[in-house]
Amino acid sequence: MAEPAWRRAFNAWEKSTAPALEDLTASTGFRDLLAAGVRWNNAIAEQVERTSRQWLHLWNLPAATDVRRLREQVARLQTEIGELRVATRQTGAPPTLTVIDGGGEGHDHPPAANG
Amino acid sequence: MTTTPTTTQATTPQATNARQAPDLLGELGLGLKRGVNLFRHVLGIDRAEIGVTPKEAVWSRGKSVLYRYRSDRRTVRQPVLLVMSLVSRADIMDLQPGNSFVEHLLDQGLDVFLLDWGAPDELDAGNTLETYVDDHLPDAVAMADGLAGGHGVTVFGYCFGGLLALLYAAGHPDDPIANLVVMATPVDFTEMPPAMSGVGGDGIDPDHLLDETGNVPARTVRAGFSLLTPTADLATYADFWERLDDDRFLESYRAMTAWTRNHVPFPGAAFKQTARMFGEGNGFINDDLVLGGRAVHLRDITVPFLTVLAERDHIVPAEASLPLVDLVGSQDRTEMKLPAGHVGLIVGRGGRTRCMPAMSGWIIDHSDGATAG
Repeated sequence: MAEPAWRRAFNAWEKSTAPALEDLTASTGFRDLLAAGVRWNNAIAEQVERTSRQWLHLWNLPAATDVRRLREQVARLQTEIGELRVATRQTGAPPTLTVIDGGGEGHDHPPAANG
Repeated sequence: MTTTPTTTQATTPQATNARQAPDLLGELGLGLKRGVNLFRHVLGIDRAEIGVTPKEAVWSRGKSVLYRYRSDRRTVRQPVLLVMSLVSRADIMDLQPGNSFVEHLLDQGLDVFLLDWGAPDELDAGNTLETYVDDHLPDAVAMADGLAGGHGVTVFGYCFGGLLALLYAAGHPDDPIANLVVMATPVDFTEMPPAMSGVGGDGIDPDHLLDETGNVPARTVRAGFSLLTPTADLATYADFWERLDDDRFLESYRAMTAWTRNHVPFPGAAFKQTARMFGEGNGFINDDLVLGGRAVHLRDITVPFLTVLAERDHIVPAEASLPLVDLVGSQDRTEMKLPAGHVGLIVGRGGRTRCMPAMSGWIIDHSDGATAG
């Protein structure tokens, strides 16, 4: 079946534009621009976050950074518990800790786990 | 004398209408089908089911899960362990029935395991390359080897998974590795596209790409891939619009987009390490890699080795993989250059007819034929 006219036009446009766009995104100038954009974006996000945190703390409310810090602490604790569990298994003592899965796409831990 | 007959058949308005009616009906039917397909697509009614070949989890640690595919036709002693990239979903190995690398391997009588790294979150932000190479991979290989009868394992890494497999095999030469296969795996990072290698050094500070979880978010990973072919997304939409009435195409389209638009975050610590060791340091080529406090050399890989390159790979250009075959220490080493793109090696008609048989053929030639348990 013949290609419709709009598709032929699109293909012609893509054929002429794609190489130039690919060269542009592969250029050092584009990379520098992207790096500057990322820095700029982060600086703004940091400023907004600082201001909103100060405002929320003024009302004794937790900010996203507080929740993040708590999540990080929980993550660290979970890692330590995991390491303890492995160490306990290696020394032969019966494991007495139950690990709470960290959310996301949690998986069951079959008995044969960790070989 | 000959006369050329001229068409003088009288066309009555009734006859014209009778001919045009079926065309009109056909057009209307096609238009209706396109409308219905578009409606179903927009509403997400026809979600693609990907990665559906039956399997069971046999081991896990953190987010990493080792799956073993069910099969009653295993005839090859050594199992194949598929090792995925850290930033892509493992479903690409088993896209959809009839278009699945896993299905092909099972059909060849192989015992197939898949190591899925999962989707990292805060808990995994501190995961380094050592976490995967020195901790998860050795135990997953040991588990696969144990379950399959202890005859060694063919470790098969794809893209960044291949890089992990190389580091693992080089750093653990005494592990039960029967063969090592890496597919579309870069070793010379000076040949990688800037969107892949432009992090670290004079480029983007790796820390600037991390989000609040400490990982590189999936949307940033996807943006990195999009930069390689800026018009590819538009071309995909054009294909979709043009073939909206083609049910078979739509099925494949849904499966592929379900995978390509669904990347996973890159664990922050492993990302920074990768940028430093490979993006800035080109560690494989310079042979100065240190992992877990010890030097890792590709020449320490001595098992039968296959590197698969895709001729039209825009993510990992063949030039980035070319030096690999000369860097490993294996006596039995093969470089296979196949006419495909990065994903086309294991997906689509070309993958099914040319690439997959070539790779599985090499694996079977380098394995024992007795039936495993």
